[in-house]
This record gives sequence, structure tokens and C-alpha cells, in this order.
Amino acid sequence: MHAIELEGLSKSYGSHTVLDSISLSVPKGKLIGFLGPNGAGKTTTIRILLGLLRSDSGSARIFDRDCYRFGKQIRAEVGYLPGDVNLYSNMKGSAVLNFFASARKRDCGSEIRRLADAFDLDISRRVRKYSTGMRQKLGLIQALMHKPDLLILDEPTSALDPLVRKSVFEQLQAVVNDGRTVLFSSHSLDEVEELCDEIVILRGGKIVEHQSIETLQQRVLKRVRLELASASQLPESWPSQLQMIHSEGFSFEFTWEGPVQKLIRWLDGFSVNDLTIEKPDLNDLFMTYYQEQS
Amino acid sequence: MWNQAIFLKTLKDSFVPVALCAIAIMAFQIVFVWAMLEMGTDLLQFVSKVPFLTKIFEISFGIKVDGEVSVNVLFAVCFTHAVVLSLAWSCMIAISTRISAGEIEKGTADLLLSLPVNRSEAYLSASAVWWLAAIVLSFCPIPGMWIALQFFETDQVVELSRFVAPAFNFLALNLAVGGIASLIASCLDRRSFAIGGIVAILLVSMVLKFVEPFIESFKLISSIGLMHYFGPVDVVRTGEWPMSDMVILGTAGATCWLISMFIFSRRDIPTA
Repeated sequence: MHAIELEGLSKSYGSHTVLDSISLSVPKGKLIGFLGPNGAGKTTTIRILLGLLRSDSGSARIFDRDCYRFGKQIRAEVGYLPGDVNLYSNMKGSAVLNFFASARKRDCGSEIRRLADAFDLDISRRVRKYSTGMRQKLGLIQALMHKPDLLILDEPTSALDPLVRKSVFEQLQAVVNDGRTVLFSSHSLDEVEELCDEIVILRGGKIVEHQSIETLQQRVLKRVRLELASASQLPESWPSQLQMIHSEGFSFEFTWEGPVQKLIRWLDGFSVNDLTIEKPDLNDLFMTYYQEQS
Repeated sequence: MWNQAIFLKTLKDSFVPVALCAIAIMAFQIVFVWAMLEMGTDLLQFVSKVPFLTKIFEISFGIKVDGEVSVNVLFAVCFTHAVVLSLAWSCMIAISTRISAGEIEKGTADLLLSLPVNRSEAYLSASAVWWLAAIVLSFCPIPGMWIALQFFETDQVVELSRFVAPAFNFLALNLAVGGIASLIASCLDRRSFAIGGIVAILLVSMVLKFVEPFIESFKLISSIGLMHYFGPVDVVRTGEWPMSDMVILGTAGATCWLISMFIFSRRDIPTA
């Protein structure tokens, strides 16, 4: 059974197509990064999954049930944090959480206290006195407090300081270790790379990439700095995987495409003074998707 | 089909404004009773001497100045007074527009509707609060009148039971106002637009009722206005229950509410 299954999902507003027949399967127990430039259709997809919007065609299923027809039952197993967290400003943080818990007909008292401690949030204050970051923490607590099988988070860390962000990552990792699933929309490529098992990139209403982080890292060019011992060592020709960026004397800076083992084998015949292979950075790859959209 | 948490939250949020409006209506009724006992007869004598004012009085309050006017009839004018109508309607409109346009405008609809609750369930649970508010606000002039009569004496017999029928007529009117406000709010994303829409409808309805006696061709058109079916002074004078008026108002309110629930259950919820 898949946590999320989209099949030919489309949504338009007038002549503007927001989602263009997207299909996606998310297995259970994974942490999926949902990426894409603004207007790519991420939030629309999430809102269809939650039954807030109706698709024009195609189907959206969570745990094998149609999101619209079985919305009530599905939402009992889903925790959601919207991108723009708006909560009842005249209520105290604790009252907001208690309201959501009682509307869900669940007793979440102990989990609320645990999460409030973990995120260092004073829930006895009124929401109107909260900063944006505090409201986001409160939103995260309401999304996590009933221990949902599927967490859908729309840019959950955008207003958080690094310490709380670390704490959020730990909570999300714990959710996945528990066999539950997280769909995580973000613009922060570093955190997606650090946290997620797989990423889905949406652009112009279409899914342009759905891969594991490992596979993507193998596709990314590695930046290499090489210093040879003497001029006699200079190679007569360079391998095709190598793209020179800069060279000065016996020092070279280049990108390498493909497995590192091949590079090491090629260097075997040279006397190497120094060699640095930088960790593959997915930013370059992500940026190509973002730039093409803009 | 019911979510108690949403009902209790809406009730808690609405309790203070409804209670304040109910107290204000009762206080106004007390002052009104005192004013009518003190100045009612003089006022009617003055008005009867000016034909134009006589007509205005008849149109505005339904009082025929040339006939014998009892204190019961004078007290019933309170139901049609702009202060009472404004207080009651402001509560009805504020509460009945909050679950749809209000929640969408504030951006809280996203989290509310991501709960394991059907939209119709949420809608019904929140609507029950404005139905309760309508009952409280429609009947509160009667205790106001009773309190006033404990302090101010009159030699005429005041029958409080005669005011039950106009209170029910007022309830039907308030339910119709709430139903129409719900319908407009369920179609819009901005609460201010919904409030503007229902206020415009009520103003047009009042103008139609006012203009109707002067312009013959308006007689038919005025029947589409809500105020055409609200006549508390006539009800007190005749002692007859305005069953057909109440059925029309009740049907209009219930129909609008059902359509609004249907629309709200199926519409897209945009981001704030």
C-alpha cells in the first residue's frame, strides 16, 4: 500500500494550468522532499490531498482511499502544516491545541507537552503575542500531536531558528523511524538533502524529477582540485568525464562526472601532491530546475 | 453530522457579543417603554395634526395614528426600531458569515478543514450558534418590557403574552437574515464583501417597504423584500399570528441555508 498515489492529477484556474496530469507514488515510511519554484503547483497538490481543493481530473489517494470521497477518514490519519500558518489569534496556544485535539476526538495532552518542550514553546501565551516562528512551532505541534501516519508539511522550517530546526528534524526522523510517512515541501535545498530519502521536483505543474537522494548525488558533477608533483607528469589527454575549470602550473580545478572510483584509477599513473574531491552539492542540480522555470 | 468542539468554540467566541446585544436590546426596550408611557400620547397627538408625519408614522411603525392606540401597540414599535434591528442583525450577520468567508479570510479554514470533520458537519455545528443567537435576540425585548413594567406604572393593561407572536415573527426574520448572509458568505472569500452584500439586501428591503405606499408600482416589487413579511405592530393590534409571513421568512432562511451548506461543502478553499 502506498502512502500517497496521484494519477493524472490536473487542476486549472481558468486558462491557467496549475497541475498538468501529474502522477506520483510515495511508499509508506519515507521522508519525501517536495521541491519546486513558486507557482510550480506544490501547494495545490497538497491542498488536493487534504480535500481543500477538487481536481479537474485524475485521482489523488492516501492509504488507498480517494482523498475527496473519504476525506474525513483520511484526515484523521494526516497531520498538516500549511505554508502560511494562521491560527485563532484571540486564543492561547494551549487552547488552540486543545480545540484541535477535541475536534479530532483525541486526547493529545501528553504529546502536546512533550512537543512544546522539544520546540521550546510557551503555550500559555495568546497566539496574537506569538512571533511568526512561534506560530510555526504551534502549527507543527498541532500537526504532530495526534501521531499521524502521514505528515504533510508545507515549508515547515521557513521561520525557525537553527536550534529549533534541528529539533524539528529530529522529530521528523523519529516519525519516519516509526514507519510513518512525511511529505515535506521546502525551498531549502540543504535541509531536503540532509533529511529526505527521496525528492520530487515539480515545475510548471509537472513532475520533472522523482529520485532518491543517492541517485541524484551520483548524477551531480563533483568538483575536484588536483596538484601534481612535476611537469613531466602532465597528462597528454584528459578523460571525457573531466571538464577543466581552471589550471595554473601543476594545479588543476575541474568537475568530474560519474563514479569517483574511475577518477582514482585514472590518477593511479600520476604522482599526486594533493587531491580534494568536494562532497557532491545538489544545489547546482536544483538550481537548473529553478532557473529554467524563471 | 455534528462536531461538538466546533460548536462550543463558535458558542464561546459569540457569547459575549450576543449577550451584550441582548442586554442592549433589553435596556433599549426599558427606555422605550418609559418614553412611550411618558410621551406616547403627546407624541401621537402631535403627529396626528401633521398629515405627512401621520403617513410616515404609519409606514415606519405600522401605527394608524387616527385610531385608538393602546400601550401594547406602542410597545410593539420597539421590535421595528432601527436600534433593535441593527443590534440583532449585526450579531446574526457576524456569526452566520464566520464559518465560510470568515475562516477563509483569516486563513484559519486551512487547519479547520484539515481536521477529520466533514464540511457539512463543521457548517451545521457553527450554524447552530446563530440559530440560538436568533432565539435569544428575538425574544429579549419581552423580558425588557417586563423589567420596565416593574418600575414604570400605567393604568392600561399590558399583556406580555401578546408579544410572543411578534417575537416569533422577529425570529423568522432573523433566521431569514442569517440564512441569506450564510448563502452570500459561502460564495465569497472575503467576509467584508459578504457583510456588505447582506446589508445592501436589508437596506433595499427597508426602502421598498417605505416607498411602497407612495408608489403604486412598487407594491408588487416590495413583496420580494424581507421586511414585507415583518409587521409586529399589526400582529399586536390584531392578536393574530402572522403564520404565512413566518412560513415565507422561515422557508427563505432555510432554503438559503441549505444551498449555502451545499456550496460550502463542494467549493474550493483558497489560501488567505
